[in-house]
Amino acid sequence: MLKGISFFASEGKLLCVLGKNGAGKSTLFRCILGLLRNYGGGIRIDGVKAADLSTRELAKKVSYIPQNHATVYAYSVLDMVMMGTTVYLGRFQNPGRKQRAAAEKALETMKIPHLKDRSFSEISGGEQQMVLIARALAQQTKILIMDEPCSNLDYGNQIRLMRALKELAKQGYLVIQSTHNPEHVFLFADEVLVIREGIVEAMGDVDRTLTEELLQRVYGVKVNLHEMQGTHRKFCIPDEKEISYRHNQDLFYENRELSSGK
Amino acid sequence: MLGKYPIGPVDLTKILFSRIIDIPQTWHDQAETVVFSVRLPRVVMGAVIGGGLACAGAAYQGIFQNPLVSPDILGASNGAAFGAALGLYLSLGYRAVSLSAFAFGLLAVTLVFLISQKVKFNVALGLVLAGIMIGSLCSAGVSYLKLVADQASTLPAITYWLMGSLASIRVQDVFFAGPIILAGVVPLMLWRWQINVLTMGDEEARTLGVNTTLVRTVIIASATLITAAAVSVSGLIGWVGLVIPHFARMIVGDDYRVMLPAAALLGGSFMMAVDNFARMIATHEIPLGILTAFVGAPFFLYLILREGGRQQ
Repeated sequence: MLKGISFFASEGKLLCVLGKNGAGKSTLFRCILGLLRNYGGGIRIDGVKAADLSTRELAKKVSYIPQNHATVYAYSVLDMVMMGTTVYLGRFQNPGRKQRAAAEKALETMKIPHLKDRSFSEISGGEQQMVLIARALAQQTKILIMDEPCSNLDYGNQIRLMRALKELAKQGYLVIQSTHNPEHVFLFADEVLVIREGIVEAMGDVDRTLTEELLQRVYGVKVNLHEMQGTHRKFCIPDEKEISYRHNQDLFYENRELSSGK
Repeated sequence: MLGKYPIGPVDLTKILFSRIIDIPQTWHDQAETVVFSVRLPRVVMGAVIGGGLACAGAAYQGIFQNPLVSPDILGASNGAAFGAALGLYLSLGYRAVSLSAFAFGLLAVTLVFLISQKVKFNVALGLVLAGIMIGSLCSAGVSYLKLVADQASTLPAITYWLMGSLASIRVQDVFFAGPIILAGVVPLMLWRWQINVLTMGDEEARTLGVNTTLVRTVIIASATLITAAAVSVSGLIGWVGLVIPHFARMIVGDDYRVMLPAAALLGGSFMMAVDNFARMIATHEIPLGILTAFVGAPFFLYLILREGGRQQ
């Protein structure tokens, strides 16, 4: 799936990964997380080859924040967050006072200590996402990975989530997340990694990297970039004239490729 | 205390303690025999089997992230049933039938496990599908054995065995199945928290630092040991492993740290209570499996309806 990927990211940055569905974003994340291990090339975390690390060792360096998901069983929010401390427990140990304190601290950091005793399955989707981030904080890794965290959230929760992630990056975490929304990249990201057909299309500072031409090449849609007056904030909107026959044709071919299994 | 040979509570206490401290004998020798070789083993075995099956069921429900799973999901019960039927058909001795049941129970799950390793993309799905397949294969085997069995002797024996009962439990059964079941319960109890994490799903559990392959394998092995050992001495006693964990969840919540011990205690008590009814409702013993189904099935239906109501 991935052919030529090479990039470098450092702590204290919010890195957004852009790319079409199937471009290889999730595959990349699965490699970093050690869920896929037989890849060529190497991933180094703090100079250590990730492939050489055991599941446990890797879980102390990289944590994964899934999309807010339904759990089959109803755990309390505190229990959910304490699962982040599992990697620091002895083989047959249950979490104790120390882990409880770590979990409560993580909830404080995410500003949701009041949710502590609620049932995870009964809080809102946005709150669930914050709890899952708190769980990653309790895991005490420098690197946080999120696969399309905004995809199930309403607009308000999307913005709240992105702000929280930005804040974490400021505190010194490396936050790597994939997104389908260039707006979020312009508003919040420090750096952007663009993947197209398994190859790094572009990587670097958002303003210089993310151009009209690049977005069109990646998504097949013509867009216009604008800068808000008086600020350096950029935003993009689809080109009106192009909402058209040609675009529909592209879509048509794309769907056909998908259904023929390519 | 109850039943065909009533022994009063005072005598019962005296008899029990007479093995530890010196008490002048005020009871019949017969009473002592009834207590120590019939009733005590039966009560102890019932508690251990009930608690064990409830733990095994809860553990399976955890690692498959599916609350509708029961301990026979991977074919342990069906395998053991086939083993027992084969033993009875060949008119093996009592001991050999238990051993055969136990061995075939383990064999069935081992096969299921090996097949599932070939299904790389989704291990849990592979396990369940292989379990269904091996399970029905074993049932077919049992049906065939019933067909060819001698209608006067072995067929009734097989039929009764399949219904499940604690009536034939003797001291030797307790010493055979008891330690195996307890040995299976220990790893489950030690890994209560890991089961919690595994219910998040395989990949997520791995990113949380859990060696999922190891933990899942040990838990499946333990739960299988419990199920096979239980079935090999008591026959098929359904519903306990499925319903009791839910009952425990209703009382103490879903956290396996509390829920698993609760399920063990509830399972043990439930089994002892139901067994008393099995002994005394009618002049003849009613097979325990029939009673657990009568209690379990309606309760399960209630759970499904309640769950359905909550989803809306």
